Amino acid sequence: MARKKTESMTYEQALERLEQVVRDLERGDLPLDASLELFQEGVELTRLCSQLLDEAERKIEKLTLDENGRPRLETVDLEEGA
Amino acid sequence: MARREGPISVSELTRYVKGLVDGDAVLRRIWVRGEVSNFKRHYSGHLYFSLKDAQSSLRCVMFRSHADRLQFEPESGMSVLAGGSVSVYERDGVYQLYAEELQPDGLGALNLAYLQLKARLEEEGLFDPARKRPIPRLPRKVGVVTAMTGAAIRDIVNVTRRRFPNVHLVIAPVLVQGTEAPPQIARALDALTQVDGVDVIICGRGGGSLEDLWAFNDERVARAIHRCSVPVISAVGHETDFTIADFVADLRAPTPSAAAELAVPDRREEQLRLTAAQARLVGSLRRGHEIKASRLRALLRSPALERPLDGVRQRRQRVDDLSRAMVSAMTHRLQLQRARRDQAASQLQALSPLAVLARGYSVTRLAGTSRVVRSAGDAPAGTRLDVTLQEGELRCRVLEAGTQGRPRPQQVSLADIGLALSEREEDRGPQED
Repeated sequence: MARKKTESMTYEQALERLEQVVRDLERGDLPLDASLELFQEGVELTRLCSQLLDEAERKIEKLTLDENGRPRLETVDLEEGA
Repeated sequence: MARREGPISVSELTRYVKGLVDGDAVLRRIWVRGEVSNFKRHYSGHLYFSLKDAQSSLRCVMFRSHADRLQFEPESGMSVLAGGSVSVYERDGVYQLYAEELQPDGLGALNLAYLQLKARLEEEGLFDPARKRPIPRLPRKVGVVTAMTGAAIRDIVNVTRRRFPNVHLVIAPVLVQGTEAPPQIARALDALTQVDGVDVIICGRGGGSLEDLWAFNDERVARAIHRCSVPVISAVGHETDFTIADFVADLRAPTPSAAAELAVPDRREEQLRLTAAQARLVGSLRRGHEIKASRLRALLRSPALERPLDGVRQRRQRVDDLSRAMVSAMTHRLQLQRARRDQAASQLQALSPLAVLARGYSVTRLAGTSRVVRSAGDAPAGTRLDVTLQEGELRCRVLEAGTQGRPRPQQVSLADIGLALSEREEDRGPQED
C-alpha cells in the first residue's frame, strides 16, 4: 500500500489513518522495526491532526461583491451574544 | 398523417389525435387546478373522477400505484391540484388526465409553482442522492449565506464558536426574503466558492411563514446550490416543510443551529479522540515492546546466556575430579605395592639364615668350601672347618671324630636311603652296608 504523504492529508484522512495505525499496532503481531515505523507515522499523524485543529484562525469575515462583481473580504466584529 | 381524399376509420382518427396529444411537451407534464366531481374508487384501487371549473370538465384517472401514495383522501367537491400527463383513451375516444399527484388546493399559486419546480428539478436529477457530497470533518473555513442580522447568523456564530472556538467564518450577507433574495443568495454561493479555504457552506435563514421561506424555493437558488463546488448544508428554519434548497443541498439541517453543529466538529471531542489515539499508540507500542523485552529477558535468564562459562566449569571440575581419582588410585596402588614389599621383606627376614644364627646356631662348613657339614661323619679328626656364628667366624680343626649323634628316623623313605647311599659312595666309594 502506497502511503499517502502525511503533510498533504486532510484532517479526516489523517484521523482515519491514525486510527488504522493504532489498530495495526494494537494487533501486536508486527515485527519490531515495522511497529516502530508505524509508531513514528502515528506520532506524525497526531501532530498533524493537532496542528490542523489549531490552525484555524478565530475570525469572522464578511464577503461582499464590489461594483465589478469581484468578492471582497473584510473582518467584522460579531461576537457571541451579539 | 398524409392528407387523404377518402374517409378514414374512427380508430385511425383516434390514433392520430392520440399521437398529437402524446407528442405535446406541455401535455406530458402538467398541473391542473379544479374541483373533484364524480369521484369513484374502483375495487382495483384505481381512482376515476372529473375535474371541473365553471366552464369545463376534464376526465381524470389515477392508477393505484400513484393513488396509494396520496397523503389525503380526495372526495367530490374538493379543490385540488392534479399533476400528470394528458393522453387519449382510445376506446371511448376521449382525452383524459392520467394523474400522478394530487394536492389539496389551499395554498394557491405558490404551491403549484413549488410542485412544478420540484418535479422538474427532480427529473433533472438535482436531488439525486448519489451526488450528495460528504461534509468535511474539519473545514478550514465555513461559508455562511444568510442575513447579517437576525437569529440565524447569531445562532450559527454561537454554535460554531462553542464547538470550535477558533472557527473561521466567512459570511456572505444576503437578503433572505423578497424578490431580491434569490439572485443575492445565488451570487453569494458563487462568490463563496471563490474564497480560498471555504470547505463547506451553510445556506439558510431562521424560521418564518411559508411565504417568508420562499426564496429557498427559487430555481436560481436551487441551481446555485447544485453547481456549488463545495458541500452545502441547507438551514431553512422550519422543522417540517422542505424547501427546494433542502432537496438540492448535500445535507439538510432543520435549523441554522443544527446546520452549525453539522458544519464544525466539537473541538474538545476531537481533542479527546486525538489524546485517546495517542495514548493507545504509545500504549500499544509499549506493550509490544514489553512483550519483546520480556522475551529477551527470559532468553537472558536461560542458563546458556546467563552462565556461559558453566559448561566450561562443569568440564573443568570433571577434569579435576578425574585427576583426583587418578592420583588417589595411584597412591592406593603404591601403598599396596609398598605393603607387599614390606611383607615380602619381613618374610625374607624371617627366612634369613642370619636369624637362625642369632638364636645361637652356627653353620659349619668344610674349610674353604661352601659345603655344609651336616653329619659328624663328614668331618673326621683333623678336618678343618669354618664355623660361622652370628658374629664372626671361627676357623676350627676337628680334634676327634664324632659319632653320628643325630638319631636316624625309624622309618626312612627309599629316597632318603638312596640319597644316603649316593652320599656314601661319593665320599667313600662303594661299600657294603
